[in-house]
Amino acid sequence: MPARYKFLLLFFLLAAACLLSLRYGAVAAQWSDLADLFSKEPGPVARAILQFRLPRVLCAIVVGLYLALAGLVFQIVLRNPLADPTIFGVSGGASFAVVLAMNLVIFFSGSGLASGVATDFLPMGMVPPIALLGALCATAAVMALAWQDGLSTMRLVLFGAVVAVILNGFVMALVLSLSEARTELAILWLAGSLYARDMANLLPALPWGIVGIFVILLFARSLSALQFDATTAQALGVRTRLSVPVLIVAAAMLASSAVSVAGPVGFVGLLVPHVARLVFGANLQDRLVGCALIGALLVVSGDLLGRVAAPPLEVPVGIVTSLIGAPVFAVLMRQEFRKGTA
Amino acid sequence: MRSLLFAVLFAMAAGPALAEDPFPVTVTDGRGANVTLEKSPKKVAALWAAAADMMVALERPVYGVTTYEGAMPVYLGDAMEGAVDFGDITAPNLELMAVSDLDLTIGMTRYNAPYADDIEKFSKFVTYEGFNIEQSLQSMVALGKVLGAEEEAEALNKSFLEGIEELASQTPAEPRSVLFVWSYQNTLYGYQENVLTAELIARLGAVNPLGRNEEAETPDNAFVVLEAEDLLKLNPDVMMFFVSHGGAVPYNPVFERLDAFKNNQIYSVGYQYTQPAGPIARDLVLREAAYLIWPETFAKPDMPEGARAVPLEFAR
Amino acid sequence: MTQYRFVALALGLLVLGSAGFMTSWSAGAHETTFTQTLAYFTGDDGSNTAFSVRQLRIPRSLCAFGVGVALALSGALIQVIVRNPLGDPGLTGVSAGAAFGVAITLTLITPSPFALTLAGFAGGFAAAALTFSISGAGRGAAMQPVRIILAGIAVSVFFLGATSAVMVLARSSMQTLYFWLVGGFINRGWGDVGLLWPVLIVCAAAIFMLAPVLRLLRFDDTMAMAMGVRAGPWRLVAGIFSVALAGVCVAVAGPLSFVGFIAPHLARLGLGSRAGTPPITIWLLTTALFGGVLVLWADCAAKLFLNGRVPAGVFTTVFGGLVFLVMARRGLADAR
Repeated sequence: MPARYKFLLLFFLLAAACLLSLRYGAVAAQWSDLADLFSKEPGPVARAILQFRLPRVLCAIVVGLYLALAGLVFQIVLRNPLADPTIFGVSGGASFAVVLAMNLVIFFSGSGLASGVATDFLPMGMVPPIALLGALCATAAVMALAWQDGLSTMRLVLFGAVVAVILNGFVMALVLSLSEARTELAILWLAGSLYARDMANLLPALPWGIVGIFVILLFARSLSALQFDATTAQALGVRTRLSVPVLIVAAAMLASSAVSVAGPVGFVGLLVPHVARLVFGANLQDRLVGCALIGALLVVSGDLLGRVAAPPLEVPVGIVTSLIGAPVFAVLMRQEFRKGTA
Repeated sequence: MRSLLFAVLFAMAAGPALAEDPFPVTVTDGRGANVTLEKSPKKVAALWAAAADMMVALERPVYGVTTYEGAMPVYLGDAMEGAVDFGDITAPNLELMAVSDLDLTIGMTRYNAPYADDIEKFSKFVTYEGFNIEQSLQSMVALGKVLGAEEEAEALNKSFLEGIEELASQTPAEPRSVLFVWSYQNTLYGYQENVLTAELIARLGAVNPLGRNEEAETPDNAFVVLEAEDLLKLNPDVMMFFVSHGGAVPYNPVFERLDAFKNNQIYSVGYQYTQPAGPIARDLVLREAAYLIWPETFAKPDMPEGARAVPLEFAR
Repeated sequence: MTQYRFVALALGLLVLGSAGFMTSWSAGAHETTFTQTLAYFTGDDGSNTAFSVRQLRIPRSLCAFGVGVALALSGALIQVIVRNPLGDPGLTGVSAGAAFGVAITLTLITPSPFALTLAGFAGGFAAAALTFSISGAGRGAAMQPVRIILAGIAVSVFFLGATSAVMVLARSSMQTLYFWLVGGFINRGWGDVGLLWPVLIVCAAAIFMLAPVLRLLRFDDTMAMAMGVRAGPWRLVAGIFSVALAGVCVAVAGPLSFVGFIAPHLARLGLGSRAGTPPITIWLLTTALFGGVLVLWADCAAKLFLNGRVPAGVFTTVFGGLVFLVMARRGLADAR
């Protein structure tokens, strides 16, 4: 099947997932309610869809797309098929910043008991910028640690993992020192969830992500050459000393933006590039577009499943993507291993 | 329970005298927001169990509630039948709420205030909390005001305070030490006097071996992680366990050395002990705790059987 | 050379370990002096202090030390089997599988410690079998380390997700689950020692008896074959012991992370890997000691700091991260 048709098919699947996402959920909606979305005065169900489901679907598309693209870039540039964009300090930094902020708010606002007014909570609307800041700082720290006469990819992988582990330890300690009522909110965020996400959560993530995507497209030729080893890439006329750091920064920006919206949704960035490679082969442009589509599809359907599994409860999207992603990953690996031994 | 009913009856009797419609009312809620209600709210979602409790006490219908620790407020008995389940208190289902055409949503500040922007899209929204007696009293008056029943709420508070005095005056002089514990598996959290349930027990005249935590920034932080050895040192006369998700507590030989064990006074208590801020819950906790601590002195209170304390079981 | 280093190292670890045991036995709500504590070993005067030492502190310290030893040996075995220094019960999916088994049993069936241990075993073995079959090993093909780890990550992610999903659907309090998933030893007693140590002793004895074979498993299969060992079945046998150890640890303490990964490395560092590979028995012994001492001290820290709100698992993670940092720098220095 030519790549064109595969794109069409994926696009169709994504559109279908989005429609199903708008149609199904805790509230039983009809197809007519979806039509009602476009009327001047939408009914209550259509209003709820507009207020809650539509923003979630948009968030899911953006998160999936960002994570998958970031994963692809990381895997190519670092020449490491196991590179997950969220481990290079991004998840750890974002998580640490959010949990720390929850602690600091308590520390600075005092008890508020006297007035009967509690101001010692962190409004969820403030979380994305804080997470973004934390993710970017941690990424910068990892890069600084790894920098030695240029960006060494091996050092990057190692120090990325080290920083992630240490930050994770601090996150655990901070979460457990929070009082019970707050821990729940922190842990829900740490699971990677699209609960109550709306346009206000999405907007701070857009400019960074768009810049990131633009940079990746600008450096697409370098990225393509980097699929070969460094000498070949240089022979192809790519200045790796420039393009490698730039691409990594761009991918880290994408991953940070995604994490700022949904929290650390794991596995998407690791899994999707592998799927895209199996579906689209080696051509980089095809894989870029394919990654974006598959990533969005995975997160949108993950969120849908999490919402319809057992309403009124929601399974956080990060958990669902793990549950779908892991078996798919296993099957793909199995096939590849077979080919390897055959 | 009896004095509570009396209070409600009293409030209703007093009602017609000041029957004028108090709406519109403006309240400052627990997160400091000023909220105005134009008319008496008919359809109310009580995300916070204490709010559902207040509405049941006022004999108002509760449209929807959330669960806490996987449990509905069973102590409210039949009044919860037909109420919509909006999910867990930490993440209530927003779209279900959005299509419910709610006049008012009452949340718990700690859990629900961070999502205020979302809830205000479809409903008036107030949040309160009740981690100690003071907060419970304030919150209930404020809720009364929101529901157009400030007088009744004041009366409920008054009868509650009188109830404390009445029970405390009957307490035997010989002090008993009582420990309230929230447990999950091997992890036991012991509550200090700052927290409402422990505060009520202390007001009855019992001694909390953990004392008061003067340094806790917020009352909900006034707990300690208990090691078995701490139990030995504290050696309470009575222990009340809220076992997360019910069932048994892992056996530990320490229990057999405790006075509470020898007294046969280690209890597994109901939902109301973890969410005790509402008028019915706090009254039940007060009366049942008095009975559990001094069974010779106090009578077994009337309450729904599902909410009653039972002897704690150990898993071996 | 290695022998001297080993003796010095072992002595150092024994001193550290003894200090850890003494700290663990002396710290608690009831004040005790050093000599008193020792006296309680032989005589029980019926006091609460004696009870605390004999029934609470000693079993808890034995749990911590035993879990450390077991995880370290489990990790070392995996590193030998997959011939990759990244081996850890966490990385091969075993810990996550065991945690899933334990969490499901806890939430839906019973908190009985014996049932939890069985669930830990079952989950661990299920995960190991999955990892093994996904990696495609065993069909006459050689076991390939990278494949095992890739498959292990997939299995691990799946079981962690499944654990969380069950908890969410059971409307569990996330706080308590989190506390348990971090791993620790609060309120563990002789019952837990009774579950842990028999498994540990049997597995450890078997591992040391297998040492001559394990030595050859460090080479690839053809090489091992040339030296007279059919590597495949032996890797399987060693794997079973590794999984059993990890499973019982998760049932007793929750999925403590990183111990199985860092203890073997610390042993290598201590024994001086640059001088050549240390003899396997010595390496295993040192690894076990490192693991035991590490977890014992992590539990002491959990008892002494932050009012016990932060369990041992947090300390092993932070310490693991720091060791990882040192190793990363060393590894880079070696690579240059």
